[in-house]
Amino acid sequence: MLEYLLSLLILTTIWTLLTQSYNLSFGLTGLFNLGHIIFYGIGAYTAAILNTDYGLQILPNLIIAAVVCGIVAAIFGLLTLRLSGHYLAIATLGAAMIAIVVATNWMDLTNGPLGIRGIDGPILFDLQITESWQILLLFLVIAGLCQWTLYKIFHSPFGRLQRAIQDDEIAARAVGKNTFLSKTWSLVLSSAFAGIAGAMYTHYRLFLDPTIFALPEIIFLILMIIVGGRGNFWGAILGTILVVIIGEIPRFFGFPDSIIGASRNILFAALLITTMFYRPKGLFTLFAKKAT
Amino acid sequence: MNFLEIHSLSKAFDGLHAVENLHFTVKKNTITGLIGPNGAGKTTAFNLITHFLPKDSGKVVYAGENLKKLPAYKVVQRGMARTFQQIRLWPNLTVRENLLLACSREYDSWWKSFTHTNEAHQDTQIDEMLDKVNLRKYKNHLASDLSYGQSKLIEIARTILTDAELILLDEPASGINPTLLRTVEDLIFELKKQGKTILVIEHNMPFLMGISDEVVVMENGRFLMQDKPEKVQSDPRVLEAYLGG
Amino acid sequence: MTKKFIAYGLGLCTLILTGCQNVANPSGNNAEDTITIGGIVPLTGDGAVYGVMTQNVANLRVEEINESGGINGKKLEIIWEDGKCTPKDASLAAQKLVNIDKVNIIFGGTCSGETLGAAPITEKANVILFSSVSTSPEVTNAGDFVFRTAPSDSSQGKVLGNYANKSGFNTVALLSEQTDYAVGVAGAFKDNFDGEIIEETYLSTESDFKTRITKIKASDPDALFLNPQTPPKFEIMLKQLQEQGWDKPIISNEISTGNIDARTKYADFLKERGLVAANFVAPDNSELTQFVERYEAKFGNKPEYINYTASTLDGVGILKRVLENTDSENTEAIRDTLYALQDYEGVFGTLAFDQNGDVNITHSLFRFNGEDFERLEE
Repeated sequence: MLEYLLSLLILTTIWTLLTQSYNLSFGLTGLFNLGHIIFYGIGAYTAAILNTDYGLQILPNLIIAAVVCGIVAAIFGLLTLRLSGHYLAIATLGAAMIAIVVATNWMDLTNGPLGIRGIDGPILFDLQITESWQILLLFLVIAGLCQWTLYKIFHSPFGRLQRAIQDDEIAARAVGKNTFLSKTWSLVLSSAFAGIAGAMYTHYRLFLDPTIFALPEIIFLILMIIVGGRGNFWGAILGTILVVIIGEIPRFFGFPDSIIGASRNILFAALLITTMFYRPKGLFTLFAKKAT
Repeated sequence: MNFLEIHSLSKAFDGLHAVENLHFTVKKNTITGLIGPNGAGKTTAFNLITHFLPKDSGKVVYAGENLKKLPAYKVVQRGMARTFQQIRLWPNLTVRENLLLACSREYDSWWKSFTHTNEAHQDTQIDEMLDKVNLRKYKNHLASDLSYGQSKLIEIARTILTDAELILLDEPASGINPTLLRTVEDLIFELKKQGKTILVIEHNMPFLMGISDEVVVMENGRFLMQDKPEKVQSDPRVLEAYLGG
Repeated sequence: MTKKFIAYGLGLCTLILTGCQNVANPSGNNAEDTITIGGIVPLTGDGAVYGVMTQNVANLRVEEINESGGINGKKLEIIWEDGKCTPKDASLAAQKLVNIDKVNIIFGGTCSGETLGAAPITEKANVILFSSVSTSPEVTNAGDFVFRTAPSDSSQGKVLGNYANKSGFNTVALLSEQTDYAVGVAGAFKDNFDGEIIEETYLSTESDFKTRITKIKASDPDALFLNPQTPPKFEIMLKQLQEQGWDKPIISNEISTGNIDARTKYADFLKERGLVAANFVAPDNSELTQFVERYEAKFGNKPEYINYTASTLDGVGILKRVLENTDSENTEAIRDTLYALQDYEGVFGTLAFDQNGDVNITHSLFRFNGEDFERLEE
């Protein structure tokens, strides 16, 4: 039982980082990026390939994954961020589909649909971290650093500009801001942290295949951001935790296995509807820090 | 000297000539009015001059520099800023933040935009400005809390805080009560005293004629005349443009 | 507004408390009279057909075992979880089964991705992971406690590769789907075929192979190897091949053997092309036939995949044998017993596991005679 809770906590630590990374580009800047999972997957694959082909371990892999994602995001951003909302959404969806195709077809790099197995768990300076509580501690430190950085970003002049861009980009240009470059930076940073989350996930679950790029996952990310409140730093964390708890309720409730899946979806739908009706700005507006 | 020169500016939408062969000049440190009946193309002209809309043809020369195809945000950085006909504040940001984003130091190095810069200097500037428009107590309110007239003032204040040398105001007097109108007038005169140049689109004739050194008249997207306010007001062509057609 | 939130809050608390109650008293693993094991199959999503069938076969078999005395008098019980054919969900399922239900054996996954996703968790906990359907070559090395009663896709590719060699084909064109199953088969084929291979791959989302077929025709190979993931794709291939007048020999993976509609529709075409397919098929076995009848009686239809029905029956049967003689709590002993298994007579014959936990079944070749598939002797 404890073991299960630990594993849940580890996954929640990873997922809150993923949600927060999305909160930056989607929640704060308002970029209608439907392909954010790409970066999670690229981060995961970068770590998996570096580990199984070159023996690199988790710490360098996190950094390289972040850099790779940032570069991909930069290229992608420079190409698409001049597009308006709807077009951006379609372009990002298209990119997500391309990612699946690449992961499935580039057998030499990704082993295609067979997936990559035998990934090492976290190893720090030749020390294998095997106990779940140790992994949790390590991941809390890593994710904690990332969250702290994201907190600083949210509450910086850059963060302020992102909120302005979301409200009215033209007005931002009217005060001399290069909004295009700024949005690209938002996407780059957002992707880098998603990549770190992906690398952490892969060093925990030890097996990876193209299903990590599955499009429906983005729906959960959007759900968690809306529940937590777009651009609300603490909301993203609490929103993720809430969604995880709600997801576990059917299981613990003793629901028959055949309807756990369906009942979970019903609960998520109820959560979304509740949020939209009673607190459209997010359930955690109490925690929204007063604007800086 | 001519601070702003507009040469043969043209823009058509689906065959409709919104602005056609427009040309006029604005001298440094003057207040110039831009008038014309509805549909004359005044706001379009603003958009073209400030590069918020790409021109079909023509030349905009600001402070001796041909702006060519400079992106709008760079035009602002060069020193030419404008307000919008439909007020563009950021409703989810506070009044303070709305103004902060304009204060010139924010243009600075990329790194600074992440690390929390010392904004005390900007806060002083902002406080001064808010005092001028009597809105100090709204400093930490969301911009969405402001009334129409107050929003207008803040937008003008924000534009001024960009430290622009040439300020384009699009109908600053429309829809506000006489008290606020007075405040706007005072602001504009003070800008002139500080050496700034202002170009103003307005329909409120008494107000506009009262502040302008020169007035440019547009009709059907074209330049009609440019002269002192008294001359413009009594010119039959101008009366014709407003009443005729 | 506040009242509503209090109401919701109380409701949520009640839910949680009830849930905690449930957790504190789980169904009772390895209580005095039951042996509880876990099961991971795709109940929803892409693999549901395989998953539900596997679950049905296992459940029916377990029911029959329990009715005839169980295992040393104890009832066998399976706690099923939905693996959804993804490693992510299978890993969550494994986590729950291992850490909350505290099972020592998990029957599953079905999709190879499920097995590979669950393996790291079961390996860490020394829990037996026993699959009857996963065929990816990757499962071979998935772990010390991982076993399977279905043959690896590499055996399929190997057998077809050898056949291509023996038939004197110098060049073989390969029309292959990019899924873990087809890729596994293709990989083994490439390893075993000595001649030249012209490969055309496609994604599961595609269903138009005309351009690829044209390219293949132009390259003039000696034979064509069809390697789809599902029967519908196979049928489309045949249609488009016939339209373009394909006239060379065809070999295929086991998908062709399961597709009765396509076989009937294109019977002449296939017979003339000398269709040879690989399959692992249980020899005509009364135990299997009778089970299928009982399956149909209970569930209303025949099981969709007879070969996986057989491998699942064997899987349950082997577990029963092992659990009769070994303490269900001692997973190391169970593992050792499995590796040492020599004389289990299953539907497929005398079964044993190699040092990797793979069962000793291999694929065979079958030629299509216009109506049915006949076994090709080596």
